[in-house]
Amino acid sequence: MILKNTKIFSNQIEVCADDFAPATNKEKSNLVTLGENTSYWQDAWRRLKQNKIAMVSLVIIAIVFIFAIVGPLLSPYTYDQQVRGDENLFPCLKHPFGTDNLGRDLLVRTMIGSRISLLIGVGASVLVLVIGSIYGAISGLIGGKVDTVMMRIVEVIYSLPDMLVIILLRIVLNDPLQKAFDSGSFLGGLQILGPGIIAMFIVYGLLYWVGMARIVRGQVLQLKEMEFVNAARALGADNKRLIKKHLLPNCVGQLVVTTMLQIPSAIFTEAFLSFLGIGVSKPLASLGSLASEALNGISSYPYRLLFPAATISIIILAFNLFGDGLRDALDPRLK
Amino acid sequence: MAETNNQSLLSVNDLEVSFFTYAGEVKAVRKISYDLKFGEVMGIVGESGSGKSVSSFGLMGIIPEPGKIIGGSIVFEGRDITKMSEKELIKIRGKEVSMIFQDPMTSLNPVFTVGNQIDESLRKHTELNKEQRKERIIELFKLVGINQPEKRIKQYPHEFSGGMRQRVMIAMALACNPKLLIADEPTTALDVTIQAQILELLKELRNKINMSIIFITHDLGVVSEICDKVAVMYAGNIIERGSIDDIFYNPKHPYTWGLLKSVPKINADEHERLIPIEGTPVDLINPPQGCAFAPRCEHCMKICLTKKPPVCQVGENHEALCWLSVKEEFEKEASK
Amino acid sequence: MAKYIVKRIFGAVITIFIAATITFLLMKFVPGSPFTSEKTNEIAEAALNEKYGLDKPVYVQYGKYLNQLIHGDLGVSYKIQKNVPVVDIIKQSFPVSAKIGGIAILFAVLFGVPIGCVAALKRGKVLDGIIRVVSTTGIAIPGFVLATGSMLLFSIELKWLPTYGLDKPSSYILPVFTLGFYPMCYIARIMRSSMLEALGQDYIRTARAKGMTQFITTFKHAMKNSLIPVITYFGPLVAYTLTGGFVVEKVFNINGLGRYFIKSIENRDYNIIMGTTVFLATLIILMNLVCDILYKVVDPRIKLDQ
Repeated sequence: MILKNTKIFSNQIEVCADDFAPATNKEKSNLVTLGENTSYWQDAWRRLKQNKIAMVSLVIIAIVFIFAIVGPLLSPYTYDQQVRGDENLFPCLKHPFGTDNLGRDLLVRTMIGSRISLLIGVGASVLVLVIGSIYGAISGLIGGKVDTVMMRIVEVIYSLPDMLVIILLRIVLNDPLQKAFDSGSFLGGLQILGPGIIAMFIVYGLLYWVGMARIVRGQVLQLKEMEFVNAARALGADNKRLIKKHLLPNCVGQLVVTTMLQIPSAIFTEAFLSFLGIGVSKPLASLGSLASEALNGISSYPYRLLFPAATISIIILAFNLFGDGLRDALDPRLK
Repeated sequence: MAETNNQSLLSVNDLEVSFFTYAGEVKAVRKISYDLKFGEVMGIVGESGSGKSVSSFGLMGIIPEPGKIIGGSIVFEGRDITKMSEKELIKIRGKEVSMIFQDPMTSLNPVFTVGNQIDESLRKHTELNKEQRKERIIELFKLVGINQPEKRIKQYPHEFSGGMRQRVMIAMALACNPKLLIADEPTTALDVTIQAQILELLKELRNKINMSIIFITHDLGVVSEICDKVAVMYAGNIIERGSIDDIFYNPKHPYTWGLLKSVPKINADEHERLIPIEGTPVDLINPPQGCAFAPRCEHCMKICLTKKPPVCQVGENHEALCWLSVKEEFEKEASK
Repeated sequence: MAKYIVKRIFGAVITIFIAATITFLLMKFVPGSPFTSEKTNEIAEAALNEKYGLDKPVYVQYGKYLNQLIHGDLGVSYKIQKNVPVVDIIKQSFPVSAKIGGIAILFAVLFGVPIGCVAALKRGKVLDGIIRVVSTTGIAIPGFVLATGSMLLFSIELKWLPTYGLDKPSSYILPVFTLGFYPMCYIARIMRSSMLEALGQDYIRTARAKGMTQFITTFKHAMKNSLIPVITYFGPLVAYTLTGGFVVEKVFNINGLGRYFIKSIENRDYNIIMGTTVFLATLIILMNLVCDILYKVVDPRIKLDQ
């Protein structure tokens, strides 16, 4: 039947009686096209994958890790091997990055340097993460006077000029650590690292966790007020369980991002200290110490600066960009 | 009551707004039309995401990125706003059309005094000198019920409570005597008692000042108190519009029925329960072929699933977008 | 306001005191006296220790140190310039560092803020892309690499600019650039993101709804809000320029405080290390204080009398 164009309808409408039969629930539900339900992590991963810059950075980070960890194993030289007759070579087939004035292969030294820099970056960040999040979580969770005192301490450390304290600590720690190493009292794994790196770790462990502690405390305070924490409390969860099961997973996004961005900052600091001559101990090399060693013959051998400096810049750039991408992916609100 | 003449102030025709997001084109407003006369107060009702706010942002040309008007026209006093340049729009915003926003806590700039923020509008749109502007602001503050205006204009937004900030927003919107005021959920973010006060103020102002108001809300109770007519929006469509009486006493669309059932009444029967509308709103990236409300509709018919309902003139100035109205007519025809 | 400032000054004084104490204690932890390594016999070493009061118990030395500190006395150099008061060394060398640092800060702010704004306004466009790439790269290059790299290029290869010293106005270009580049990029980045955040706020919509032009909404409403994070960076910025100055002064052979500091580290001249550290720490803490107060002044939301 055709319903005419009338006062009621502006157009002609063609309908039949069957059209007005009730629709079944099944037919109705077929119509609903809901967007896929994705979890927070799936969602974050999807956003991260869409971010080309972040993915490229991730690949670069992976390459740098392979370069630093596997690279030296494939090289015919070791980082402290002085090849007689090969001193002061420009980049060539035998030594793609050239050699230094002692005849050491700069390619393998750059690889080892990257390894040390990455080790410092990752190690320091993990240290900061562990100390900072435990301190911050305790402070936020207990609250009251304990919180006040703990945060005062953080404030004082925060307002100390970090670079200066690092320099001082580094100078001070050098001799005692050297002695401890010479007497072999350090446990196996740490013995290889040398006093320079251990001193860096101590410095980071003492100073750099305060930012992380503040972030975690802020998150904890915010989360403490939320319903699910009360629910967990009511079910008899103790503080330790609360921190582990409820609070940390909820601020994990920010922790990951802050840790990620801590890595380049630690590498930066190490490079700065190496440049001032108080970085890693010789003959070990970090990217920073390689670059600063290169300054002596800078006008004749600029490539000695170029390779470690480029590597360090690429590493920091890749970590920064990946960290930014991660932040955008984990918390779109922060964008 | 303010004088209502029959001349049309605003007429929106087949307005379409889309947001071009990464996930695809979100059709937020899908061909809506309505008229507004001088002095008339219209309510736009709908749930979150129904396109009610977006359509009104369109009236001022301030649809946020990545949204765009992709079709239709908005004729304001004979001129089409959708075709205006930014320069022309600036002259209309705040002067001819002004807006009160939902959240008074974030809608005022925290780093400028409230006086400064109102003054800005006056400086832009009027010829008043500094003294006159100050007088005008004080007058406005008195109008919206802010005590000690001389002192208050020098204060920053954070020194005001939520309700007081909304009064500041209203004063700001009224500063240049606009012809049309758009109130976008002006009471939603406020406490219930403050809500009542602000509503009372708007009602009072409506009678004092001759202007048209578009009142956007999801609260039918508010609409009944202040509006002359109502448009109910669902999934980017106006699914029913008519006078207050039409909508409250003779609603034609099942969604409107649902809305009315979910409003608490004071004199309700003890046994009468509030009935929520089941289901979730549709995905506006892929709106269904048929009626957008069909999946949630108790009265859903086969045709609702496949064909978009036509606009049915179910009474004088009362329209509904529903196959049920067609069915009624069909049955009448058939029984002849 | 006054109450807040007094409270903050008090806090700053305490922090300075703690910094000075830490510095003192750390230097005392270093085994041996500063003269151990010198080619002196034990008698001479003991004589030197006695002369400088290093044979006394630590707490006596600490008391003396604090007393001197309050009177603005930082002791004398042991090695680099024997017996010259550290204060004199600072007086003579710090103005040089301050001049370069000051110009670098000015450079960083004057370029960083507008660049960040432009990037935010042109979001997603080519110009924004270029600015983002440059500024992200800029914060990934260590200061000494930039310093030596630019010296290599402009002074040694192209011979446009002098390699060292500060005799000519053109000598300032490279040190200021290399010192200011990192903070400039950093400021541009914060400015961009805070500007974008501000532009997305409801009050910007309000301003637009009032009929304000794009120019006013950007440069009045968004700007003042987005400058607040830049102000909070001012404290770290000063700290960065002071320590970053060490590198620049070393590379360009500038006789500023940084060079003395590095020299004193190399020579283990503990009094200079200690004195310089205390001096710089005080300066940084005071700058942080100024920055904090400034921040409260600009942002009216923060109650001053808290």
